Amino acid sequence: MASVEGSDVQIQPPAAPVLDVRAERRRRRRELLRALVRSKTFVVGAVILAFWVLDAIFWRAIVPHDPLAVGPVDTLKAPGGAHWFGTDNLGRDVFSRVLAGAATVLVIAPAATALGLVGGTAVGLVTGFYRGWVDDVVSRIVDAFLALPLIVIAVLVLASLGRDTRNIVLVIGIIFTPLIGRTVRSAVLVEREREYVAAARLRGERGIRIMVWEILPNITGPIMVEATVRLAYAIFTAATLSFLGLGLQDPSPDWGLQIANGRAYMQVAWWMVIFPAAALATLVVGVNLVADGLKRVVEE
Amino acid sequence: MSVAPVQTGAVEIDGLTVSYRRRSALLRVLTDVSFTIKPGEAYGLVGESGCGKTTVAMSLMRYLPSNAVVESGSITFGGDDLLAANDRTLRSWRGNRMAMVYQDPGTALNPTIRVGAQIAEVYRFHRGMDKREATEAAAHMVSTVQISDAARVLRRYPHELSGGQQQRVMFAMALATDPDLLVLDEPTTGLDATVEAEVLDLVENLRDQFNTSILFVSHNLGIVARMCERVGVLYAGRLIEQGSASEVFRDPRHPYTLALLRCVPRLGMRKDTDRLDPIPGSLPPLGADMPGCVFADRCPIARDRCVQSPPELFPVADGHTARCFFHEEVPDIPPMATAAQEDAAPVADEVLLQVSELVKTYKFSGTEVVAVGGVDVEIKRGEVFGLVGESGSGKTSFAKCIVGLIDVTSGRLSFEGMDVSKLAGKRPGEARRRLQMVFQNPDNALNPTHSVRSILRRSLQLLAGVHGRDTQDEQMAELARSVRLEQRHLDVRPAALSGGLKQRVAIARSFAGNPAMVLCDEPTSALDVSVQAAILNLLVDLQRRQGVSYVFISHDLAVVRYVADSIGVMYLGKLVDVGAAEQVFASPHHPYTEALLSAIPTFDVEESRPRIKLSGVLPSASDVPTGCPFHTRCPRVLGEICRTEAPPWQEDGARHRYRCHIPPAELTELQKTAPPERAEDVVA
Repeated sequence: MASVEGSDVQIQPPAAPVLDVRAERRRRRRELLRALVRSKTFVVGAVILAFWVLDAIFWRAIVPHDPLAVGPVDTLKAPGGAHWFGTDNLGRDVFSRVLAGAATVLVIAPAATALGLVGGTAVGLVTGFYRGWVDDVVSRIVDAFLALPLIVIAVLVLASLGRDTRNIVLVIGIIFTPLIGRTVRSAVLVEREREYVAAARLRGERGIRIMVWEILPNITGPIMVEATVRLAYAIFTAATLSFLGLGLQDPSPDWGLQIANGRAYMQVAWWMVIFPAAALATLVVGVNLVADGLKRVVEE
Repeated sequence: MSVAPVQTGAVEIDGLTVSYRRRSALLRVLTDVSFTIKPGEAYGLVGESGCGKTTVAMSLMRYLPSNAVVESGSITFGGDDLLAANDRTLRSWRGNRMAMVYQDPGTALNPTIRVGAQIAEVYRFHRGMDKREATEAAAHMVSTVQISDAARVLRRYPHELSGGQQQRVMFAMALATDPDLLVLDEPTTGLDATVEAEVLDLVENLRDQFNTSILFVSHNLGIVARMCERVGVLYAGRLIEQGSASEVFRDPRHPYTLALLRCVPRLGMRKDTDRLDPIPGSLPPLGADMPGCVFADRCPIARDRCVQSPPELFPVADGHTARCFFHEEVPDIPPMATAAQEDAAPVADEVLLQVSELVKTYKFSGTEVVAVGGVDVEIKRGEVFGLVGESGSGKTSFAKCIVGLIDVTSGRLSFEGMDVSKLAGKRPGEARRRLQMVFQNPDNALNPTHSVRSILRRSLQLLAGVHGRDTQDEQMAELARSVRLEQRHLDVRPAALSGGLKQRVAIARSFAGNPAMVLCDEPTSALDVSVQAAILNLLVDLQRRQGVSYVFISHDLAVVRYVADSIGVMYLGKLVDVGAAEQVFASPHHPYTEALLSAIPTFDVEESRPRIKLSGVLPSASDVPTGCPFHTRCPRVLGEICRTEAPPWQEDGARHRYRCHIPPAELTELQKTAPPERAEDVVA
């Protein structure tokens, strides 16, 4: 240790031990996870989200009643022994329907978010990277999109295309594309000025490769945060569409639909509205907590 | 405002030990640091980044971040215990008795408040003056820090001032209450050479007027040598040498101090005759457990004893102490670098890059900004062309035009017979391969998500056309060896490497395709001096071995002088002085070059040059002065002709020309003496 050779190669400081890429990635992932676990916001949100996801998958095994089974004698029963959350106007068990309702929303919302994410990332990369007229044209289209309230577009499209699950996913995903695109674009604008992009240009990389290979891996943080935020919106939007009668149709146990149906009975059977609404609220809050926790960790 | 000398300025730091809490661990940053600053004395603290300089400064102001823990030690300030003072006391002391000037004046000033109001605020808060009195006091203070046209400056917002003016305003605020202690944390880092010289002149001036004690923190040995009576050298959180500035720099007695002094290129050093002496190894990490001397693993004279027990500060002369067991041997340590130089490949007489009438303008909402305003230059095969100039002179735009990162507005670039006046993506592959660039900041220039191996592999693929894993790996090993990277460095991401290693990767990448020319844009200015030396050696070696040409951009004249065969000096987008390196640096040269040269701080204490003060600020590139662009600041301005007529090129021998109305013979005569100070009126 005492003598040092005359070469001018620097010896690595022990604090940053030289690891290979895979080990380093593992270590970073571990660190990220540890930081997330330390964040109370994230943990609470994740627990709520995990509950609903498990419920969405396994509701068939845990519901006490068939959520679709009509009970002509048991209509509008208040919460009690046999029916914890009461029954609705057709005598269906609200508790079972709340549990079953997670399934539809947790298929539509993530699928729509994923679609919006793919589209938005593509739009954001192209507009942010090329700037110039590409950016101008696409950005004006995006602005036009943003000028209309989201629900209005959805109503128009679903009314003309028909309202099945695929169309709901499609319409939410398409509406999300410019929104996510804007966030991605601003992240790309920062990255493209970094000199590693200049170096890539100097070795003659094509635009597409610079976008996907050089820039994209460096903006996964903001994209991840955007995805969780959008997921909460998607849940809400899906429920709103059902509520407006543009989503799934009776007898589906969808929450938005339940709230819409229950609205008429608000005075006599509050449980028909409160329980699905509470379920929806917890899910949205849970996703938002996850988003907040993630955002704080990513930004650190 | 003349003030009687205050005798309460003495600062005594005794056994200061500070750690930072990270997670549950305590990482030691300062260990047992003790020194005193006498009243009215300037004490310099030097060391490379990560040595703990700023932590000392922050401790002294009690501005330490919340995760810092003062484990032991004391700081006495004019007889008062600083560490025991409560927040209220501190608040009043901070304005009244001590003040600090930070590195970046642009961020230290509040951008939404007019400069005058910000200075006046200090008087209102600490002196209880009313608004009118405070404004008057502020105006007086602004003229004390030599801001011309004080009335106008006071009404401006910080962003409307130049960097030098902003820093003057910071000084005005710091000195407003006539503090006993002034802490300067790298006050000129980030400022241009001529502005730096101005600010340093100001500090010297103010010292005479105010008799404050100064703690001057800097990584720049030359500046500390010039400004301070005594210096302390910090290494890994320990004070390893202390003494009077002249003695420490003339006769260093710690191997680290010696090494630090040797690795800086001094003006007059040339790559052909002198090799730079880098410090092997790197700084121990924060919180490292070192039972012996902290420098032992990098020290050429370390022995077993050094590793086993920590040395104390040994007195070597009156007031000069060094933390080394073998301090007597330090003066005899031979230079580490081998002095022998391979013979330089002679610069061929073949033009490699021909730049004709290169113009680059930007348009910002209607106004046209001229970044490069018509540059003609020829660079020969195997030649190193040094490009100097202050920020805003257009050097980086020039470089970016040449490699094709930005569009050329007009003009012609011809490289190895190919027309390269277009963007890199539109050039023939051969032109891209043969013309590469090394960027200033290696953190930015290497993609953080890719491993070093994949970065180099891609360059080999595209630039050298090497396909197939095995051939690539072979060539990569070769490439890594040429920049002295080890195999284990290849499989990591850039973040796991030190700054110097990152820059080696960036250099390797640009050399992947066997280039004929590499543009180096400030390749060492983000690095510490010891690392800078190693990188410069590497660049010189590569250049000799492969016969490449460099365009070497730097604000550090000593560095440019060291590597360059010929030099161009840029001012406001125009070349004003071009020629063989030794001739550009020798008289006669353009008055701007003369001013730049006089601004270099040096740690050869005996050597003193008259400093040439440039008046006024760099004109905006959107409004370049008529005639000679330098006439608004030129200390040797002739008169009307400079304002109205563009100066001709004056030939001074075959290998040097400059743009000025003063012919060579006359200029040589003039430059034997320093120019007269210029009246400010010409500026506005």
